[in-house]
Amino acid sequence: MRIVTVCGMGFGTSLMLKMQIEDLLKTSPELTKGVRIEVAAWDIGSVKGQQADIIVASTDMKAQLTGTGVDTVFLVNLVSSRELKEKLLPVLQTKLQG
Amino acid sequence: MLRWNGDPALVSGATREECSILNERRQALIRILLESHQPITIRHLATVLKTSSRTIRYDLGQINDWCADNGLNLIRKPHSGVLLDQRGLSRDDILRRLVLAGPSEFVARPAERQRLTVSWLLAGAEAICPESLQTRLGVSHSTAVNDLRTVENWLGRYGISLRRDAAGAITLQSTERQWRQVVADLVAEYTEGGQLLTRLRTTSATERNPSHDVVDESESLRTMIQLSGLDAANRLQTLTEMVSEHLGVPPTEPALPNLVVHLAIAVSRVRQGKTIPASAAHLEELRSAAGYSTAERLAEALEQAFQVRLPEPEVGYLGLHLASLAQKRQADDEDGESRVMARDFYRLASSLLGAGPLMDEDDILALALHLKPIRHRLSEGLFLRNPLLNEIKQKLPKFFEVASKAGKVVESRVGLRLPEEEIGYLAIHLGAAVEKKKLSRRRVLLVCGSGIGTANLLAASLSKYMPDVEIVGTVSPVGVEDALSHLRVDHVISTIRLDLQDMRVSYVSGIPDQAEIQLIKKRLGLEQEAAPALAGAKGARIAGGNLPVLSDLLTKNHIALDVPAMNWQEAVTAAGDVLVRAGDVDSAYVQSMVQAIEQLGPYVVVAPGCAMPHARPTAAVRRVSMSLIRLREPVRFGNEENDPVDLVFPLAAVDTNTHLKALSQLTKLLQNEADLKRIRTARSVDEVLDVVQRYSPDSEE
Repeated sequence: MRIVTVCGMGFGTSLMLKMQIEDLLKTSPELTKGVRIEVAAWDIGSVKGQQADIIVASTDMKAQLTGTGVDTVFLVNLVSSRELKEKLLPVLQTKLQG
Repeated sequence: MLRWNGDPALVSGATREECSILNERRQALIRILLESHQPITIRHLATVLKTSSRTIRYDLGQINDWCADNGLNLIRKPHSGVLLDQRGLSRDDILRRLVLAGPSEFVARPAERQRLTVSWLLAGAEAICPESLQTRLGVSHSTAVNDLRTVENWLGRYGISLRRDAAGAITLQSTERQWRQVVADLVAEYTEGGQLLTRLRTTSATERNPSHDVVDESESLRTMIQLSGLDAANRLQTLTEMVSEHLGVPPTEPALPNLVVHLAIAVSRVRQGKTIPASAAHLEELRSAAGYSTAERLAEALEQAFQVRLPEPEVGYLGLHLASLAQKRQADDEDGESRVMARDFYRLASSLLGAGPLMDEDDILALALHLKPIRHRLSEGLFLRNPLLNEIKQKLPKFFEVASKAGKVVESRVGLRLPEEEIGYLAIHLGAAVEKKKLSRRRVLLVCGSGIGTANLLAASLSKYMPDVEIVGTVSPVGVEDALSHLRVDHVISTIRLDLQDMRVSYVSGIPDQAEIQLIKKRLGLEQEAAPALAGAKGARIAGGNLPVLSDLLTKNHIALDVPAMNWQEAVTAAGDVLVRAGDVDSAYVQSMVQAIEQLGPYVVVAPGCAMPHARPTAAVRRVSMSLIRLREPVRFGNEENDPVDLVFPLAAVDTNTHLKALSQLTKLLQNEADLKRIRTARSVDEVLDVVQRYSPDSEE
C-alpha cells in the first residue's frame, strides 16, 4: 500500500503531511491490519508518474489533482490530526478491505 | 548449498572428458584466441591454462576440427604462434556456438536425467511416474525407478518428500521456502559456470542441439530459467543493475547472481500468488535483522519496477539474503591477489599521471572487488557490458589511455589481454579516485570583518569539522580581490557580506553552527549532494543526527512582531526580508516564494491563520532557514477556510532533507492552539523564543 502526499514543491507541506501520516500509522498500528504502508512526498509536477493507492493533499490542490483516477483525500487544515484521521481512515479502511 | 555436479551419487557412467569434444579447457582456449588479434604462442597458452605445451598442441588439433565445422580458420604461424581467423563471424555468434558445443551438452547422462526429473517435479505441471519417465527419457523401467530414488534422496536433504497417489503419480511435498531454495540452488550451478549468463544473452536461448537425440542439457536449463522467472525479457540484467545500484556494489560482484536469482524467483512466485508465510513472532525477528531497512528500500524499487506487492515476510527474507551477501563480501575482502593487482594498478597509474599516490584503502578495496572475478570473466569470455564505453573514451581520454597502460599489471598477472570494456571500467575507477583526491583538500580563503580574533575562531571550528579543508589565507574584505588574484582558491568563506559576484562565496557566522557547517560541506562537495530536490523529492527520509532543530533556525533575529503588510504579497516579502537581512537567502528567493504562490495557489496556508511560504532550493538559498513574523493586521491569501493569516513562517530549504527535523517540530507547534495563542499575544520576541524552545528538546546539546 502506497500513500503519496503532494504539494507544489515536494518538500514543504507534503513532507509535513507525510510525517503526520507516518506518526498516525505508527501510533495506531491496528489501523493498517498488518499491511505494509509506505508514505512518499512528491511535488505536483512529478506525481503523475507515481504509483499511488491514495493521494493526500491540500484542498487548494484540488484543481491540479482531478482526474488522476486515484482516491484522493483533500485537507483544509494541514496540521490537524483530527481532520487527517477523519478523512484518511475511511479511505484507508475501504482500500484495505478491497 | 547442495551441488548437483559435485554429488558422486549422481554423476556416474561416462566422465565428461570421454564424451565431450570441447571440454572446458578447449573452450577456454578458443575464447582466448577469439579475443586476440595477434598470434599467441603455445607456451603462453600453456601457462595461462596451467597445462603443458603438449596438451595445448593436442587440444589445438581437436579444436581445428570444430573450427572447420563452424567456418572458422585456425592459423598456425611458425615461430609466432596461433591465430583464430573469425572469417567474418561475429564474436557473439561464435560464443553462442561454443556454448552449444560445450561440455554441458555432453554431461553424464544420469545426472542430466535426474536433473530433468527434478525440474519436472518442481514445475508440477504434469503427472510424473516411472512409466512417464521411461518414455520421456528413453530409459528402462528400472533405471527410471532408480533415478527417482536418487532424486528423492537428494530432495530429502532439503526436507522435501515425494508423495505417490493411488494411481502412482508422484508430486512434491514442499513448502514455498524449500521449493525456492531448490530452484535457486539449481540455477546457481548454471550461474556460477557462466552458462546462464551466456545463454540468456544469446538470441536463441531455446535452440537445441540437433545432433543430440533424446534430451539435452538446455532442456533442464530452460525449465529452470522458466521456473525462476528469469525468462522474462532482460529480467536478469534489470535486476542486477537494480541491486547493484541499491547496495552500492559493482554489477560484477561475484555473490550478486545468487541474490538476483532469489529475487527473480520471489517476484515471479509472488505474482503467481505463492508467498512465504511467517508467524507474527518470526516476522518480528526478520524485521530486526541487519539487512531489513535496505531490504525495504529494495523491495520498494522492485514493487515499482515489476508491479508486484511484496508482503512483509518476503521483505524479511529478502533482508536475510542481503545480510548474507554482506557477509560474503566481507569474507571476500581478505583475498590477497586482487588487492595486490589493484594496488599495483593505482601505483603505476599515479606515476603515469605524474601525480602523487592517488588511492586510499577504500579505492583499493573497491577496485579489488571489481578485479576479483576478472580471471574468471576473461577466461570464460564473459564480457562485462559497458554501455558507457564510448562516452568514457570521449570524455575521459586521458584516464582511458592511462588505464590501458597501467592495466598491463593486471594483464600480466592474469595472463590474458584486457578487452576495452574492462579498460573502460578501470578508467572509471581511476577517474573516481582522482576526483576524490581533488575534492579531499579544498583550498579555502577566510574573510573576516572584525580582525584576527574572529578569523582564528572561525579557522579553528572549520578545521575541527572539516579536516579536509586547507585554509590558504585569512583576509579582511578589502584584501579579498587581491588574495583571489594570486592564490589558488576553491572557495571563500566569509562572516560579512562581500561585494563579490562570485558563486564560490559562503556566508557563516563567527562560530558556525551545524546547519552552516553542513551547507558549506555540501557546497565544497565534501558531502554527497542530496538528489536535486526538484525531481526526486522522495529522498526525504526521516533521519535524526545533526539536522538543525526549530530553535536553531528561529533565533532572535529571525523573529519579528507586528510587521505591517497590506496584502499577502507584502506579508511574504516582509517575512522573506528577515531571511535576507540575516544573510540566509538572496532577495531572488523572496520573489520566487511570491511567484510560487501565484502559480500553485494558496496551499501554503497550512492551518487557520498560519502560512508557510517556500520555493525550490536554488543558488539563492545560502543555508536552511526559517523566520517567524506576526503581522500587525491579518491579510487574506485566498484560502477560504484558513484565511485570514497573521503568522507567516517562510522556509528556505537546501535539499529535501536538512529541514526535516525543524519542519516536524514546527508542525507540532502549529498543532498546539495554546502555544499559537501565546505567540499571538506575546509582548516580546523573547516570549516567542520561549515557546519555540519547547519544541526543540535536542537544542541544548
